[in-house]
Amino acid sequence: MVGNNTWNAYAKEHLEKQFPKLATDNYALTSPDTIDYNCVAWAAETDEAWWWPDPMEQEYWPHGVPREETLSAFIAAFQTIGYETCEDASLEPSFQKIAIYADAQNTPRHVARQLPNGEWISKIGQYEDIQHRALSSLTGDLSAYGKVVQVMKRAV
Amino acid sequence: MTATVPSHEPKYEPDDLERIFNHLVQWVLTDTRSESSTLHIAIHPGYQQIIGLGQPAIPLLLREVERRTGRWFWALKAITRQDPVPPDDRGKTKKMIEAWLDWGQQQGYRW
Repeated sequence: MVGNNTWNAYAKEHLEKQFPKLATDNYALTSPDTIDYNCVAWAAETDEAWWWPDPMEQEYWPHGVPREETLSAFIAAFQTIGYETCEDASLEPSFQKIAIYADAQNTPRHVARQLPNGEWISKIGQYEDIQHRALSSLTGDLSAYGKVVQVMKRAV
Repeated sequence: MTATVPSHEPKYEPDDLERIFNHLVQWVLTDTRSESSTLHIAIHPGYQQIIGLGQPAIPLLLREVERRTGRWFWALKAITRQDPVPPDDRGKTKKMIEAWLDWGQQQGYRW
């Protein structure tokens, strides 16, 4: 838990409005809100850069990976740091996993990282980081992140 | 043929500009706080209107950058057609903020 109770309640109210399934997830805020980094960076375990393949070339994106909002580009980005695609998001000893969410057009919207206890950690845009139990807690239409379309893992 | 600007091109009084700008900033931030996609943020209609304000919005954008309220680098680059951020510092928010604020001071902007 971070910040004071009033702020946490305010932040959670906004998060649950956008991601209604979080209300029953027993999730926790795990950082202050910040623009320093985003979900992709946090999935890659860095809090010093904002990762995104923006066409204006403002943000960090791994060298040599197409700068485009496609699932294949996101897979390639995580391959640069040792991840490979895998079939499911179950907890596997000695492996770390990430999950890529995409909208109905298969455009990536979010990436979450699995923790050693099997729960997930997500940086919510310019909001806080949260630790959540289920990947499905951030899924849904409209303002949510769509659905999980790819899981990747790497040995740790 | 030479392109021209009509003499009745609207101009904003400073207070009006700041009021309009602040309204647009709040609109963008309210709608895009959970976005990681810089592209989604930049194509928000409020963000596009901020870019449309043009050069008079630059010191106001630099103020927002200094306050760390959001990702305003795209708007600054779109308006100024300059990019003071070295390629190796792309995405590194703290260094991007430093680069743009230094640029603003060198250009004579005050905010």
